[in-house]
Amino acid sequence: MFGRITAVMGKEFRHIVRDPRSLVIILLMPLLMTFLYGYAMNLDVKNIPLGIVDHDNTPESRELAEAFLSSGQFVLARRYPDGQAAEEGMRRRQSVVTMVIPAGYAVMYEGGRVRPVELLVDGSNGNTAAIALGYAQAVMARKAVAVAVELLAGPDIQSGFSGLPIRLEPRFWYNAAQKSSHFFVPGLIAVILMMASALLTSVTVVREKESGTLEQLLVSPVGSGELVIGKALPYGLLALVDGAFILMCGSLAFGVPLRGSPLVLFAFTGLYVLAALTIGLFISTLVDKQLVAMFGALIVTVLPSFMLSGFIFPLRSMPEFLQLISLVVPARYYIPVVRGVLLKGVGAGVFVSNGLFLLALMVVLSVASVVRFKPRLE
Amino acid sequence: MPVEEAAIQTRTLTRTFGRFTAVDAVSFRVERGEVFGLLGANGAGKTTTIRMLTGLLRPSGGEAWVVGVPVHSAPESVKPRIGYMSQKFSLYEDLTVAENLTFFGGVYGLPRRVLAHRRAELLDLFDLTELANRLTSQLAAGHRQRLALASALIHRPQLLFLDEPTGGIDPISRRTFWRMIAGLAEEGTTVMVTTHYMDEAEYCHRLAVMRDGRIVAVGSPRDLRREYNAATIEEVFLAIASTGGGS
Repeated sequence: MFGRITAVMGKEFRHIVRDPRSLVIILLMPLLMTFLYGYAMNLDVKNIPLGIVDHDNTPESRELAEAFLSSGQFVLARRYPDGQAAEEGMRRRQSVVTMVIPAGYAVMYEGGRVRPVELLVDGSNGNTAAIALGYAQAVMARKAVAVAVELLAGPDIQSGFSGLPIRLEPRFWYNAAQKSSHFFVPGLIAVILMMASALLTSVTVVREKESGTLEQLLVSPVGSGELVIGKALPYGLLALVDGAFILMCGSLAFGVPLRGSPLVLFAFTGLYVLAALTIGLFISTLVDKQLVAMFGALIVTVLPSFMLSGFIFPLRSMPEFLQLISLVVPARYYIPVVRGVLLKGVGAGVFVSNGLFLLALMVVLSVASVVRFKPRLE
Repeated sequence: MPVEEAAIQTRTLTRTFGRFTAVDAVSFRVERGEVFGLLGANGAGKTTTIRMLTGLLRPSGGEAWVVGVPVHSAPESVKPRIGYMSQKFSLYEDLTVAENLTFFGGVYGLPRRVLAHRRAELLDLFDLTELANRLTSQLAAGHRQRLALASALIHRPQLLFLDEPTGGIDPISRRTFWRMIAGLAEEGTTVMVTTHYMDEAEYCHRLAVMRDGRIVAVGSPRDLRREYNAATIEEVFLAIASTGGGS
């Protein structure tokens, strides 16, 4: 039995080494995806271009504009003479946020009526708009408090102003610098491993169907279990190497830390990869053409791993039926582990249920593959 | 039951696909060391018969013993003892000649030392030693056929099934091939072969002609020619096809 499994494994290793396609999937794709997503999939919003229309043009109004520009989040796009010019600027995307300071803004300092400052936000990109608005509100709140204190207590007190009596002091743990890459790289490891493993194994069996060698194997004494193990193991080993490779890229290029135990990560990655491989094998028992197998593997793995795993979108805010579907998405159980081990340094104890779910998925799929892999042609 | 002596013995072996009967209650017997030819037009049921005998396809009815194993009830047990070469010469194109032999030897569970010895022996026998490290995809059709045959023989099967083994092969390679088959039979290996080259039928010890899933004539080439008063097997075949019946 071992002899037959090693014979199948040796043959699969040779297929991998001699097929440029599989090398591209194994080496180039993870590299490309890590860098592409790591750099491009960036939710950080910095240097928001700010347009300013200052109808008041007083030292006070200029002070307000200065408070925005010195906050670090905004850069001056342009000063516009009037609202119409500002609107044109927004339309041409010169500015994403425009602040319109009304004439008579400064009269409130003399006890006059408060005139609201108008803030126009380009809402065509909801994510950026929300973040820009948040920054603007923070700047505005700080400025408002300072002005209120000054007005109530007089200008002399302001220099000794030590802040509000109650306030929030937020501190980000595990990703103190709020880097998107630290958030994405763990998810990417999950998506790439899933995609590469399922893609490669889904093709292996179907290729043998196309070339007729499967028939040759079926008349031999090799059993379905031996064939499935012999085909899955080489790709499993490769996927583990692949995982380490992505982790290294993430660490070198984006400074993603490894705070927890590499052993825990390795164990869970092994389990996850096995689940991914069995998905590929199962697909290959269902279809007869390599192209169909590849498409099938991509559709079944990539989209759910992105969308239904909590990688980008939190599962808790999804409709119930999507949450139900996500229960069979392996990445859902794996991504929290990678994030936990890499960023938080959490131990294996926290993830027992994740491990059990992965194990269950793997066992179900393996049994299904072996059963589907009939020793006879029908 | 005298199955021990026969290499193959079938009793009303039948296979249906839906409402179509591909093999219809076929009974025949092949002796050990015989080269037995299965003739017939495309769709006559030759390949389906072979697939049932090799355990690839479960019979819908009837019984078949292959080298003493009842394949209708225990199709797995026959596998270590038979060799099979399909019409496509199914080999791994991205493996070398030697690697293909090594792989099939491994799949049949040969111990490493036995495998190395057997591989060298077959490379020598089939004149492939010089091509041992050549990728299979680079081989000429005749060489691929020889490698496919060598792969099917790596575990010294008692019975060898050849399904249209000479398709796409030049006449000289075909003749060499049949000389090898004759050699195997002399050493005691039973060979069951399907073909639609009628001249090749003359190389067989006995023939069965299939039509519409039934065996319509059985006998040695000489007996068949005499029975149909024909000069060649091709004429026998045409006579059977036109009269629509056997003896």
